[in-house]
Amino acid sequence: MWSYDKRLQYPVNIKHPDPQTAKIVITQLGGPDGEIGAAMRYLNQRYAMPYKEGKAILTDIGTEELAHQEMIAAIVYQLTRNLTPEQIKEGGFDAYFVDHTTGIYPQSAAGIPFSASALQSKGDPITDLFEDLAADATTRNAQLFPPFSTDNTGVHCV
Amino acid sequence: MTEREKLLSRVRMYDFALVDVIQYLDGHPKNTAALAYYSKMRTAFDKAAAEYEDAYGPLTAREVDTRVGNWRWIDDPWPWEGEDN
Repeated sequence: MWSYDKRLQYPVNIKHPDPQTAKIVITQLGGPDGEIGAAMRYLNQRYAMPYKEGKAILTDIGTEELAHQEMIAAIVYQLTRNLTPEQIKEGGFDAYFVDHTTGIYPQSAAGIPFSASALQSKGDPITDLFEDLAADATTRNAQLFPPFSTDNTGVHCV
Repeated sequence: MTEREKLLSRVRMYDFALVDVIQYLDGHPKNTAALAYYSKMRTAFDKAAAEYEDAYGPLTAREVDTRVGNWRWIDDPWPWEGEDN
């Protein structure tokens, strides 16, 4: 069971809409190395974990990933707030917009909907922990990817 | 930074310390320094959260003060809306 705190883990206050950045950042929500995948991976791997320390860590980290996905969704939401038709076209946001308008849809930067095929839960704790290590490395890669070093100060703060 | 943001940033600061030490304690349940740190951060978090809630409304749906006569949980702003809303 879970409870909700009505606040973000870290504040998101983006001043200027920036659909071009939103298009890239959304992959950290629903892409192959995104936060939803991270949460689903840890929370579903728990059941095969025999050790109490491991059960606790998977539970608490999986829970924290849910808080991360909320922050990423907030970034995308604020980056696409009050867009003009020109900004949608110029920012290359028209393909996303025709499918979802400015609704937050968990997908990769390339437009592939969130898929559990980017994660594994094998029923073996050692296998799962190696999968977690690999997932952590790929997420780090995504976070260091150049487009994330955007000029948008609001995004940069997060 | 508004007074609301200032209070909320203190809640976040102590919460972040708690998130960190909780995950550390999961793997090191007998570490006395971590246990003491958890206890200290819990006290600080509870105080900061209570101060925020007294001034700006509930952080969880289980801490709603019904004496005001309406369900304040639904009040804007919601977390994703940013400080301008």
